[in-house]
Amino acid sequence: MSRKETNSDTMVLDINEEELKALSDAPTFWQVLKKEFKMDKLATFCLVLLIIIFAVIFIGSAVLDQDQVMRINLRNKYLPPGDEFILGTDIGGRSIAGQLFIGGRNSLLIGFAVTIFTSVIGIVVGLIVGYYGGKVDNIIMRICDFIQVLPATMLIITFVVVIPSYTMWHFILIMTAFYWVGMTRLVRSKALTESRRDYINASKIMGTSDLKIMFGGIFPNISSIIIVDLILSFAGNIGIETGLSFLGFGLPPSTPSLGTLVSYARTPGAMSDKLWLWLPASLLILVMMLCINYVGQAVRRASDAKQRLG
Amino acid sequence: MKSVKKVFIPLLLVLSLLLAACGKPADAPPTDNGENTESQEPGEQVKEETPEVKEVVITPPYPTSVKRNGKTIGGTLNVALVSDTPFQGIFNTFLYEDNNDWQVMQPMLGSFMISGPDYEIANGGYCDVEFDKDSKTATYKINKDLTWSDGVPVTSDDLIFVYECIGHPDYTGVRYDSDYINVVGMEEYHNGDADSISGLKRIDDKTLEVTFKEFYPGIMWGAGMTYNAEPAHYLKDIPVEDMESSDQVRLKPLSCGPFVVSNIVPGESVEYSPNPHWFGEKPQVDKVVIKRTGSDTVVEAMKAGTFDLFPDVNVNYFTEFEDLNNIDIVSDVATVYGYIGFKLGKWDNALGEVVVDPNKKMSDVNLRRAIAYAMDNDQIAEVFYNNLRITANTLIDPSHGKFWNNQAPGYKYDPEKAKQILDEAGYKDVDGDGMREKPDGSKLQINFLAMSGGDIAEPLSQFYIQCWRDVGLDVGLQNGRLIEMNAFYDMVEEDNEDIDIYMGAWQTGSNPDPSGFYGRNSMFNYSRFASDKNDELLAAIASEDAIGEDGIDYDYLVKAYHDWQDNMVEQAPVVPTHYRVTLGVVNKRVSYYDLGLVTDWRWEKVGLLSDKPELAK
Repeated sequence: MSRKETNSDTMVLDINEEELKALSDAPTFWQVLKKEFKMDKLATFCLVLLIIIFAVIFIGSAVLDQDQVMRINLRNKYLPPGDEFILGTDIGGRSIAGQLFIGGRNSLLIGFAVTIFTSVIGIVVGLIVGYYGGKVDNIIMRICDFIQVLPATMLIITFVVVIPSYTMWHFILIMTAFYWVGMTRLVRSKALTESRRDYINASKIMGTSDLKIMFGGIFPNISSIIIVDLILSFAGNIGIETGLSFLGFGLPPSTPSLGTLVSYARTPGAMSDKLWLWLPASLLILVMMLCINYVGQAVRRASDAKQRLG
Repeated sequence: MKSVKKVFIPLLLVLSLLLAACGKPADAPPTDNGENTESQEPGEQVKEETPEVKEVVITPPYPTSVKRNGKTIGGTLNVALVSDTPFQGIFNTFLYEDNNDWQVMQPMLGSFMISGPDYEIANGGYCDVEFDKDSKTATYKINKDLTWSDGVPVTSDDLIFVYECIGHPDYTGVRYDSDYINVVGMEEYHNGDADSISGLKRIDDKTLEVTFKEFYPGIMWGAGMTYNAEPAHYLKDIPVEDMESSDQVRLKPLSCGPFVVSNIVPGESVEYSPNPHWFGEKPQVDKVVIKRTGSDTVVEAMKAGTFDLFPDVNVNYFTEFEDLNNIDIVSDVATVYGYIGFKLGKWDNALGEVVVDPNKKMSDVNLRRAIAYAMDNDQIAEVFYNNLRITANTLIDPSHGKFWNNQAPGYKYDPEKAKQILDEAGYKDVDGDGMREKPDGSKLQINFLAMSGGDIAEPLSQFYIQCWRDVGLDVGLQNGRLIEMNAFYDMVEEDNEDIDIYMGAWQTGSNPDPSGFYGRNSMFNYSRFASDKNDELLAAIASEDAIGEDGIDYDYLVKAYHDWQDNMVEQAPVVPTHYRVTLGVVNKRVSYYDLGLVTDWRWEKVGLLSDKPELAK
């Protein structure tokens, strides 16, 4: 908008605009976030730990050859941790450490991919629904309601059993098909309130296209809440994957997964006598979940002025 | 979203517990459902057989029985039944369908009929049988003192009742088969053309004569015979189709054995007390309680002495018992073998026979042989099963020692030979990807269908695949995963187009005649293999010639069995992998228990030496 000179002959105040802006500017989300992490040492620690874990898992799994790791060598059955196998072996003589790397990567990738896919769908649908409201809102939200009442886990299990020759990508898509609804609901509710604001109305009056308003106007304004949800649902999605693999309905056999490793605990006697089978994977899941949650909470506080520490 | 997740994770935990609880028992023995029931019936227990020729020696790793001297004190014998699902509890020998029910019924059945060393029907039970080749009859002679637990004597009517129920048009069980149809008049009765079965002749209260259309050796192994009587006076007013759900069958079954059911918690436990009207010696224990328990807790329960007897230990968790000092281990060679089958054709329902398709991937006998040679069964037996399974050589199990050809070479692990056979048959790697192509140069991708169940299933299937890939055969799991047992057998039965190799197991039961699994007209011939020579050899086994003047002509019959086994090894439509061993665990306070078949042990003889179970130290 251009400014209008109202009084041409009044005296011109010497105002340094830059300075003024800097004074009145609200801190950006990232600045708040930084401050929040500075205040919360635990969250910082978790963030660092998480980055280290991710780096180690991804680098480690890139170095390892999955076929080699998953090659069965019966002579090495149930070796306890030792020189040859740092974390011991499972029933097929396969290295637990190798499976931990590849399984960890698979679980992370699945968690990540599902989060991204569900979020993209959720944001697009949520924004459209929230922005237009009315009939569109009604129809799509009823569809969402329907999907939400379905017993998703059971259906995922059914799909996994029914689909012939399924892979990790099938699994990701099946999970996405059921879990996009949550994000949609969240975005919709935020977009709904946001789209009643004056700046949106102003934008509308000026003839800005709907798409631009949605993604240029509303979206940036609700992005902080979306980021929070992304992080927390990332943890949740890893949990769902490992849970399903634990039950034997996750990744195909011979694809390592953290859930499969944990399920070795169900072998009679393994719970007390063969700790190396399931403990490393369980600990990895525990640590990752805790870290992600602490980081996520710090981010959430940053996005909500009432909860901020800093 | 966040709150959804919070709820979700505990929910998932609960779910996982639930699902874990209803999962299959670790390594559910992959026996086929229908076949299971049929074959369980007679020689459930297995005898020991050491072959005379020491080519392959089969000795069970533990003794078949335990016996301790001392005074028994009565008390309650606690028996473990490991099943992750409730047992059905059909206390009826012609209606029950699964192994759990069979196990649960044991104390009340006693030994109505017993089996001889080769599983043939023998005298010495509560009922003797006489066979007569010339008149094609078998005559049941029931012990004159045998009575039901309500005091009514057991009569020939109770045996006729069994035949009439099995032949009844409303009977839905699995036992009405060609062997029963072989009884004169059975078919007419089944079709409703006759009011009674003309082949059954009631001679007197305790004697029944059964006439057969054809008299073949299988009859002496129980084909078309009933191994148990059922109380006609007690059950006859119940329509056949309602019998299975009636209280008389489910809750208050009558018994003519040493024990009678005194309390049933459906699906969970059965309590037996001594049968007051039983004619034999008084049972040594005051009570037998059979209780269901989970596979994950049974080891701890045995340690703590919760159970005195666990007669059916799964090989998967057997090693957990080995070091316990409060128990004895008993074992015997089982009537079960595992196998790798090749799909060679289809089942034609209209014709009721196997149709061989020469264009199947596996139709080439050389390919089948190479696959058989590439399997390292010895290592699997040793490492996965701690030598509690035995590498198999032929399709007759060693518990039928007389008929088992222990000298058949079978397919010993020999990857070089496998490669050589493939090279010679023209399976060569043409495109340089490390995997062999068909002789015509097209890709050879082999689907392997394997069953899930237990922790061993996955590494086991991967190990076989690895073995085959090592000789250059591109084998992969069908659909990339293991198939749950019921779905597996559905797919195998329906001749799913994609199956090339599948891995299953058969429980052969008492009758060693293999035509039920490999005959041209048998539904259970899952590999869909048939040839004129095979028909001929099977016919020789089931021939009347096998019955000489005074009983069975073993020279003839053994030769017939050996010829058939040799041919099957040569043709390799089905390659046996392992013979199994049954294992049992017994607390040290038990005075006498025997897993074997040729034994004096009976349920009334099991006793307890102390009122406190031995605890593991």
